[in-house]
Amino acid sequence: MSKKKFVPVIIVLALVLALAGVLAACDKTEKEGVFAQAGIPVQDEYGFWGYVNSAGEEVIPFDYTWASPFDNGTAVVATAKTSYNVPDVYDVPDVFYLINSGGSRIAGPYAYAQLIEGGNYAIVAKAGSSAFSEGDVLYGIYDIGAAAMAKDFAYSSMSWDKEAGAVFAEADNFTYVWKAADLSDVGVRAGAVESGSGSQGYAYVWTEAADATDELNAYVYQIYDQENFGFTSVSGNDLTGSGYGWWCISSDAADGSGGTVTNYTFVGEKVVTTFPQADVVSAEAEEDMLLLTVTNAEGGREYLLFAANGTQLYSGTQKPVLDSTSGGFILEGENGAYTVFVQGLKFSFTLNAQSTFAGGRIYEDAQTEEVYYGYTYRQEAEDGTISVRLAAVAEDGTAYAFDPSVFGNKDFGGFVGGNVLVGSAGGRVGIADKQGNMLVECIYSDLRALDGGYYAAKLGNAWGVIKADGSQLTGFRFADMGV
Amino acid sequence: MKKKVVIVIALALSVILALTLLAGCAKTTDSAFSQGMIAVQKDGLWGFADENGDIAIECKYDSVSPFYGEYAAVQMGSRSFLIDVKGNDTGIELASVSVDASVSVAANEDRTLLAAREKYTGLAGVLSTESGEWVIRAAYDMIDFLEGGLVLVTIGSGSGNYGLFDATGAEICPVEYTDCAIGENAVIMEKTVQGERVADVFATDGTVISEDVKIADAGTTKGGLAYYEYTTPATDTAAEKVNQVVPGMNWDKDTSVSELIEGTTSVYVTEDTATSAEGVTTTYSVFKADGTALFNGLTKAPVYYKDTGVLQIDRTAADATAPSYTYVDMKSGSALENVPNDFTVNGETPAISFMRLDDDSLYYAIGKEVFAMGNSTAVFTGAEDEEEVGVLAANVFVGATETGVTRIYNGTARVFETGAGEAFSGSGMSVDGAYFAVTNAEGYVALYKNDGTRLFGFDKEITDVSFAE
Repeated sequence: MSKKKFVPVIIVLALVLALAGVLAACDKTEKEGVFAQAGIPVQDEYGFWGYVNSAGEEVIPFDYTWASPFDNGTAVVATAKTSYNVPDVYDVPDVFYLINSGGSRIAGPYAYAQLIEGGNYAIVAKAGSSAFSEGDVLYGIYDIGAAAMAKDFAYSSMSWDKEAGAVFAEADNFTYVWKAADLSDVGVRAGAVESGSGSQGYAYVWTEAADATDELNAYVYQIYDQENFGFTSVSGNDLTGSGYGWWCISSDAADGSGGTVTNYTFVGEKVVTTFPQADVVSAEAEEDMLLLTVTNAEGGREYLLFAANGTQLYSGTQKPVLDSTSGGFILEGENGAYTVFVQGLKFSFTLNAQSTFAGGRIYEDAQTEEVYYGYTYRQEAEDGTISVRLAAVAEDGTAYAFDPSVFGNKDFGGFVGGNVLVGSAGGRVGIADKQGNMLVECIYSDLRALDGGYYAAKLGNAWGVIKADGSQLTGFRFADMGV
Repeated sequence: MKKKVVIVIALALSVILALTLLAGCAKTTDSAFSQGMIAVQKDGLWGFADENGDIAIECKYDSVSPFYGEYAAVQMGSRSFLIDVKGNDTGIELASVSVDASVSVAANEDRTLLAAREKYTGLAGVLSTESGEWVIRAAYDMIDFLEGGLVLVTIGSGSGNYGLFDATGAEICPVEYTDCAIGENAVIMEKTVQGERVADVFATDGTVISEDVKIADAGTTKGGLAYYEYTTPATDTAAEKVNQVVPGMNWDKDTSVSELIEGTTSVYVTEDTATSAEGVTTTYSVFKADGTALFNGLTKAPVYYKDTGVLQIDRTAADATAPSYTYVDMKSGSALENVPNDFTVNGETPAISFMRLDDDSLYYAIGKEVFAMGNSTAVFTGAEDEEEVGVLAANVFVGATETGVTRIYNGTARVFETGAGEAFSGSGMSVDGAYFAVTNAEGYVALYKNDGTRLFGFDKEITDVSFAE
């Protein structure tokens, strides 16, 4: 009988010791970059989303049909709609919630949710009041820190232009523009944004009727200045879209002798430039660049190349040639100097006398946001053999030469996380440093750089997180990864 | 007095045997049993039985592999995983295959390594059958175990990349070789460096034979010897020359003069081209690996049958009224001459048939007589009513009657005969012929050793057995 007394104590002690052991074994997981947040969103083999830490251990359960990355301690998750969450009036597949780092729901249910600008706000939607209209969803903005709606559910559409740093919302045939950082008012415009053929492109332009005093120009075009959080107005009588997101406004002015002179105003992400119609020989819009051929004061031809953000990339008497192999406009200078204008950016490099340019394209490192121009050239050796060589140049002019002997039989796949993506047979990719030394073998079918020097890697059917030294952190167990 | 001693000894032995059985230490690993168990099927599901046919691991799996080392791969519904010798679920997960297909793993020759697909990635790697650890990570599309112990890994199919590991899982060639030629003499790994084809050549045990050799082509002869070709550029006095190199066979010759077209590491066949005033003549010769000529100047190309390793040479003279063949054992170099029969007669029972045993010895049967290659005295003659004869293992012969009765002989002694309703299961035989299975009319299987000893009978209600590859 006396023995029994001791048993429970021993068990308790053992449990305490075991627990202490577990706690002491402690947290060896990484907490940098993408892992500085509560966890990264991943999808398990059953299709459910949850969050794991750098060791691949679950930190928020796999309860969701979708999960966004955390931003500033908040994430958006979706769960399958149940009948008491959202009125069953239309085919909304999921219900959205905002969760905090502990996985607790802090707001929702919503018909839609999206974190914006540093994770301080979220665009959220709720089902409208009408039981019959499929489009009856209303949007608002939730202030996460204040735990309250910053903008009520009153808007029929809402979008966040990340690059412009602005939120555009429509309600009652007005468009409201707010700064995404603090939701301060930028302005209100009547009506919807003009859209040309194809996508809206770069410009936000509203057309308003001019007041009756202006006989020549029937409209006032309000252009949202994406750089300066404001509106520029241009009076004119015609708005022509280029199909690439560029607009051209023609405006008439009296010429002082009873006639009119027409001016063209070119609009990209803001008003870019204005020329008298008579001086404009041609205007070519190519993606986010505009090439104007104009007659200068001396009567000669001049070429002006602009980026959509207004930067003048080039002006001169040599015409930049639109060349599909270069990916944009190309200018060949003397002594093998080349200038390439692609996606609104300018790159310069030099080829020696034995080399001929063979084409190139932009490579963007999505994680470091550095942009490079990678190109190939044919080089003739002394004995007449021709080899194709690969090089790249950064915006700041830093040049990289990818020696084929270093790369062996691998392909250059662009830049990823400050390193080079290398492709091999079977569609597998790996990572090399910029000097061409292999860091990670070409066994993965996909690689993405994550903040903190990590990479999301797909091995066969499963995703996992690795580092540039090839070490595996989470293991490869996830059907998909949200970062 | 003597009798007593015998009985005592017999008792002692049986006690020892009983003790070992009780201790569960029957760890036979041979062509039928691994860890003392054989894969068996009962009531439609698979498990494992011991050498007495008693169930050791419950038949609850849709499919099983044999035990390799400490593990067997099993499939239960949509889940495939490894179990240990006690039948415990090890939690080592493999990729699921369709419920109809068998669990798909492959072991190397000495069963120390297991190629399997990992569950989540679906890619293939190599596990140690001792520790259950991945010694080659599951990152590949295909794994091949090569003779000699090397492991070939492949990424992609068609124009993929190849890599090479040794039996410990250490990398010999990173997975960046664009082609490979695998032979019983060497492994040639080819890659393209700056537009040039370059090869690294290894012996079958992984030893480097040559590195960075500039080649024009590489391949495998029909016989299974890996070779490569290199060109010597034309000079003012000589035309461009293409040489064939067969590593390990002391062969490096101008292909326009002589080419090695078939061979094993023991015997090889050459095609020789002679140009004279009359024109170009092509002849064939057969040599042993040391260079000894077996046959010279043959006018017809010999035919190599890789499955039995037999070379057939048609020696029929142009004006002959009857055919004449010579057969060469490509492992030993033994020749059988003046055979009037062709063993590949279309659709008909061949008049001469060859059998290659697991130990590489070659036998042939003509009519009801069985001979060992190189010896003209029959080692076995089938009985009156037997119409087909064969060899299972050294000194173990089989005869089958028209009515389906199958008899097993050890030498001339008949040690087994199928009873009424029983069938000798040709597929139910271990690769070395040491064991065979017999099925009765109820569909139950009995297992025998090839000396006729029955290990377990139909009473165990086992419906199928599966031997290790």
